[in-house]
Amino acid sequence: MNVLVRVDAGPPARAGSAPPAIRFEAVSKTYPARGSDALVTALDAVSLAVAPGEIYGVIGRSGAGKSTLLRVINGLERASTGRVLVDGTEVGALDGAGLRALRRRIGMIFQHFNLLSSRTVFDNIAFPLELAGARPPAIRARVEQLLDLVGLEDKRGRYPAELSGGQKQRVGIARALATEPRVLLSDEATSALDPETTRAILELLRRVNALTGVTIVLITHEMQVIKEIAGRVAVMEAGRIIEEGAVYDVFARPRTATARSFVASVTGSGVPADLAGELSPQPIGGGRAVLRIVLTGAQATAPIVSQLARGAGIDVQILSGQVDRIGGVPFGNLLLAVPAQAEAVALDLVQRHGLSGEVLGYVA
Amino acid sequence: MSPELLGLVADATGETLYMVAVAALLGTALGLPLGVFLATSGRGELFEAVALNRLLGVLVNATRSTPFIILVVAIIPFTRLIAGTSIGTNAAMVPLTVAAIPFIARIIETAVREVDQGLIEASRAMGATPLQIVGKVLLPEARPAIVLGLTLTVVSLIGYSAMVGAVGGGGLGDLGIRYGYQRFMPEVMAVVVLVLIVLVQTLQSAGEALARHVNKRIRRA
Repeated sequence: MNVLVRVDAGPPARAGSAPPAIRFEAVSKTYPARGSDALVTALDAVSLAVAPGEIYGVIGRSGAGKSTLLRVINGLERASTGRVLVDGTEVGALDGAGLRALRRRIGMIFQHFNLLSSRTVFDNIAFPLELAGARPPAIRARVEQLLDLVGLEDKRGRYPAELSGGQKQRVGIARALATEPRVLLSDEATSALDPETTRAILELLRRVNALTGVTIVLITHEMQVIKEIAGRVAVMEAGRIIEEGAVYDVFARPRTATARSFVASVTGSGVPADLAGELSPQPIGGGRAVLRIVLTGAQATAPIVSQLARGAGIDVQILSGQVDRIGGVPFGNLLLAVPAQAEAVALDLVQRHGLSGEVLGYVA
Repeated sequence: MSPELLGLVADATGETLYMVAVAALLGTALGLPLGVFLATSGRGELFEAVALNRLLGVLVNATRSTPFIILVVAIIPFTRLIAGTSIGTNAAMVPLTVAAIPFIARIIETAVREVDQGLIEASRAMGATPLQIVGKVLLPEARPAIVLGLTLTVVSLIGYSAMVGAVGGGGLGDLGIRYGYQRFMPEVMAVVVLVLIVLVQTLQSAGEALARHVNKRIRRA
């Protein structure tokens, strides 16, 4: 298996320690809207830098511009203004031949796999090598390695119609890696797959990243995908990056409403619907206060509930909660109800444990 | 039926097959590139040439909307230029080919347009040249539809070939008209119709079998 390790790539680099693999400098992209003179803005002055070997996630709802962002990297679409640099090469300045040479150094995988139905698994993986004019013995050797990497040796003679979705995406990944690219672009690669297959494909991508040091840029509308695999994430809305940072930080402290709702889709930090209807902004006589406690970092595992109950003698009701791990660090949300008169004591205790807490409202 | 008549039927069948085969081959040789170009030269496509695309589209439609029997007569000067004469089997192949080209072009165009746009995008992302996309993606992926379309073309050409009897083109249609109709020999007409049915049936089945064979999109046990 380690035949695939690139000697020149080295271990995945930390963000910021090397010249970026991909750099956007105020990149905008506008299209003429169909049937009118108005312009549609798909990208609006986007600047970002992706370090070599990094897994960089871009999340946004449909129409946010993430698909365009991905496609200006390999020149499938051209930026209207601004510069896109891949390994220092300005994509917009390349002619046809230069662009094709660049694209052979950038692999791409797709939501609907885009495999050639008339070719077998083997010949699909061989396709980019054929396009690049590789010789048949070299093609055979390389395809064998890739079949081994993605675990499809026994399917080499099959046609895509005979494969499951997960198997098709494995072929897609093998094909994208055939020319030993420096960058892998993933266009909603798991959106057509079930959760279990999604995890297996993400695991494969992570392994490929660790093994070859290939830089991965992935776009998705699923925060779960970002959580599973990305190191850094950019949140897009209306063609702009509205929030960017380490995945853990965005999960722990989302700054925008969009980021908060994406985070909530994974962590379940949202208030359950039936409870939300009962919440009142004013204390109700003899009622309880509803607290949200965000469990982050080293303090995430602090015994906060028992501290509240035994240490402060407060009756604690757990309304909802989830503790998860992001990048190996625990992270969670806890929704508690305490007697309204004990609210201040409870919040103080939470803060003394290095956690953040807030009062969401009151119930009877 | 007398042996002489049977000999006539055999000769006529040979003439029909010969005319249709040559017209189909020449028609494909010219119609295939034309069809691929029509399918790939629209706005934002591989070989963008919008004006030329429109012009060729109008030409193709004009040829296709001319009734075949009118086309045969209308292009007699052109036929004479190409074949040296306007009468006989060789001359008849000229209007047959002229009619086949736009027919095949439209069939190829439709088949190529059916190919998933995602495959073109994926190929571009892998650094394929436009010609590689045509040769390695569009034509192989469209193969089942192309085979079925060409089968349809051949069957239509057999029908058209019956009309070239009007310019002395020979073939089964000509035989049916001259003997079956003008000489009141219903048994000749019956045999001609029977041979045509068998021909069309055989070609259609063979075409469908071939299309199935090259279609890898269907899961087979």
